[in-house]
Amino acid sequence: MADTRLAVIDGAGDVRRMTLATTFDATIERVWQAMTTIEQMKIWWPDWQPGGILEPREGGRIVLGDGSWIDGAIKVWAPPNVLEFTWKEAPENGDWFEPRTKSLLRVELVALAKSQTALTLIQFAPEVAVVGGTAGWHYFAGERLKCLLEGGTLDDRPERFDELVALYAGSESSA
Amino acid sequence: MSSKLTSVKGRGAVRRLQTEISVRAPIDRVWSAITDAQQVKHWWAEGQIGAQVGDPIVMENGAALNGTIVVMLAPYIFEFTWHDAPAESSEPQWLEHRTKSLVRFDLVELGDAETLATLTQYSPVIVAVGAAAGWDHLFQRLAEYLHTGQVKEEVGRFERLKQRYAEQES
Repeated sequence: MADTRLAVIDGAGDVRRMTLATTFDATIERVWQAMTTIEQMKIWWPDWQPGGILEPREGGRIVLGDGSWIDGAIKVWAPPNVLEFTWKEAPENGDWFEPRTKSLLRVELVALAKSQTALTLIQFAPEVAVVGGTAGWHYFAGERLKCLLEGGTLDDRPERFDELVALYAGSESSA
Repeated sequence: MSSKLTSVKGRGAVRRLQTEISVRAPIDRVWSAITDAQQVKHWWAEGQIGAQVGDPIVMENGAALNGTIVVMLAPYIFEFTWHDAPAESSEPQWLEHRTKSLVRFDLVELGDAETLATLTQYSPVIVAVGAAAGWDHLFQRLAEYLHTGQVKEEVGRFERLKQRYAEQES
């Protein structure tokens, strides 16, 4: 079956916005827990094992793995609806949106029914990184997290990410 | 001008409102129109807007806004809480959490002189209809301000918009 895009990439120029939208057959509380506790995050977003810190409050620190990739701060902690955090608090090159610096990720949840929840993920990224970033979120949140929440076998094939990069390649170009 | 209604999503006590508008103005121009109180007063209300995260934002309009800036990443993301303290005891519990009455503007550059502005708000259900109509009204005023430098008062528009949402909800 052909893959369907879950995310759209908006904008022209150096900075683009990725918006991924999907739904899960799970309660909003269950989705919030899966997206905000280190032990659950490791299952569907495993690149950064082992270790991790998530201080569940505004201003709290979030460190995934050894912190080389993500060592940022929680900007919004509003369970079970909104989580926002930066990748890195101290810019390494002065550009907040550079993926390894302060790129801000926003997680939005809305309860659609008792056991159905809508997820929206929003991230701004430089043009050169947005296709890879979008494919990554499709893979981790759109597929692996969905499997975790709804039951099913998580896809661990390394080529899956490349398939998704191909799915989004070209979608960032301005019309 | 877009007449698309603000989307209202969710069940239970909380709704997520979202609306967007594409304006003929550079992104930096739109950023200043939404973050500089001297410009915001033309399309929204008189008030004070701080310069950085943690600063207050205050608007002296009907649904008095008295919150705190939580994200300010120029020229892309501007986000603030509506209330820092409980407003009235009759309001739903969640609104009393300062982090939960959230308003976010984000801006995407579509071209040298074209910008997409998106508004997202989490709102208690009892005020969602008024808030949705309010954002439609304000975004039309924002676009008019950016395009012409001024805003003509259009009496009754907000009430008509509110009526449309009330009919849609029922």
